Amino acid sequence: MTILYEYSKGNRLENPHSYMYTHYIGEKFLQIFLKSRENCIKKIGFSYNEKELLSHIYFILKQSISDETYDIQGLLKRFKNNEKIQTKVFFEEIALLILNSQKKEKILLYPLLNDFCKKYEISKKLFSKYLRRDEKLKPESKDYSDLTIYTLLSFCLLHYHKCFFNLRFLNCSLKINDMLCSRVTKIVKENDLVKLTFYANLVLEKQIIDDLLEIKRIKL
Amino acid sequence: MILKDIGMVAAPSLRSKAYIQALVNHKLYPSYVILLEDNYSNCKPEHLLIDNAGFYSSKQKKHVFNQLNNPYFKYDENMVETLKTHDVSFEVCRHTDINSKEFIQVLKNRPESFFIYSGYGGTILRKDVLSCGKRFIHIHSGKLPEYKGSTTIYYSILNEGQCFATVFFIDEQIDHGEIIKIKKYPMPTDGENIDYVYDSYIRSDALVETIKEYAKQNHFVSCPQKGESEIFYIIHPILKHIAIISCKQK
Repeated sequence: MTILYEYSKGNRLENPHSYMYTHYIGEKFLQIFLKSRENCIKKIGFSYNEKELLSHIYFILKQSISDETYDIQGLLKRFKNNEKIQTKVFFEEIALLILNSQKKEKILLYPLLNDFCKKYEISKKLFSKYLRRDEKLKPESKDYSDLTIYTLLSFCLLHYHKCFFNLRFLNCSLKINDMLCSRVTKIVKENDLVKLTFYANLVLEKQIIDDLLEIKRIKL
Repeated sequence: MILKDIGMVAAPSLRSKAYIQALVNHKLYPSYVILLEDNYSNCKPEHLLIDNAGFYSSKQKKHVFNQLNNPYFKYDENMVETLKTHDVSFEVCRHTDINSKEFIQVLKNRPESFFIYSGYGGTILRKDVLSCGKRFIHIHSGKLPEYKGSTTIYYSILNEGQCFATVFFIDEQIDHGEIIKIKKYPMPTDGENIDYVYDSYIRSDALVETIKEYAKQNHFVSCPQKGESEIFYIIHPILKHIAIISCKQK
């Protein structure tokens, strides 16, 4: 009997998994997970190497951001100043900075990513607009359907984890990717940014899990 | 030894069983236990497993059930029987919401100053109950302040290759109160039983050590948590599997 990877079953955006007391299946479960992810990668149909992939994403992000003055300090300032946040644009800027910054600058993005990581972990949804008030993010929109913001947050969290080994961020990204994999038939019809970041996420996620298995001396 | 100033609030769970058995096995008897349920006499061990909305097949349930055999506590011993055998006074409270006015009144009527808290998972004690004149002792299976939140035992295994239990006084924020004791434990040899057995065991062991120290000194020594920390959320099954398999590899 084939065991399905149930965390990407159905529509996990509308019916998120709680992840409470998940059952231990064994090493077989890791194989089921990897196979499930591999199937999603195939459905997207790209075959870029990492350099090409990141270069494509960078190019699209750069075109999308009209403000030439963006930088980490500017982003942090806007975050602290209780301005309204257009989530997609905000994540595009963070993603661009993730791709284009040194390690010592990347670490400054932690509070921004951390707040949104908490949001996703608690509600399993990300809304198109937020207002940051009293150091808390409050949704300013009821729309949580834009998959771009999920692929971008996962992209940023994974790259931050790759740089600083942050299991909290990896954990959140795995959950976002589970949800996105449950929406893969929708993703293949989306724009290039969604498809490319989703694909890049699954490729990097596999590398990260492989590395973790190696560190823990687990052979499948 | 009867702990005159210490009571306990216990929901029907394997953790509560581990706590009570560990205490009485060390002849440390809480003055009074408030059981948060009215069906203890019928409560079978398999009902104490927390089901995951139909995820467990009957075969999986049987497998988990088999994991309950452990060297630390008797999973199938009825809590009421344990209390009766050791002459520990108790009541079965029908007000199962610890934050309710009725339950707060039950607490206020008790003379004990401290209550070991082993309530339902996920329940947050609110201001009203925390200001009713009692202090609540909680044992968290993670090192505080670094590992706050949920399933931290797994994160600790992945990050540090070891486990911790922290005994602290509950306050209004999550895993934030004054720390009484932190104890380090090795990774379990069989990681499969962490959720139901090892997690409960390390908490109960840290509790016993804390209460022993209290019994000697007749007071708790605690200190506020220092430093910033973040809250961990429920671990993803992939990371959980890697943590469990890494225990088996040891």
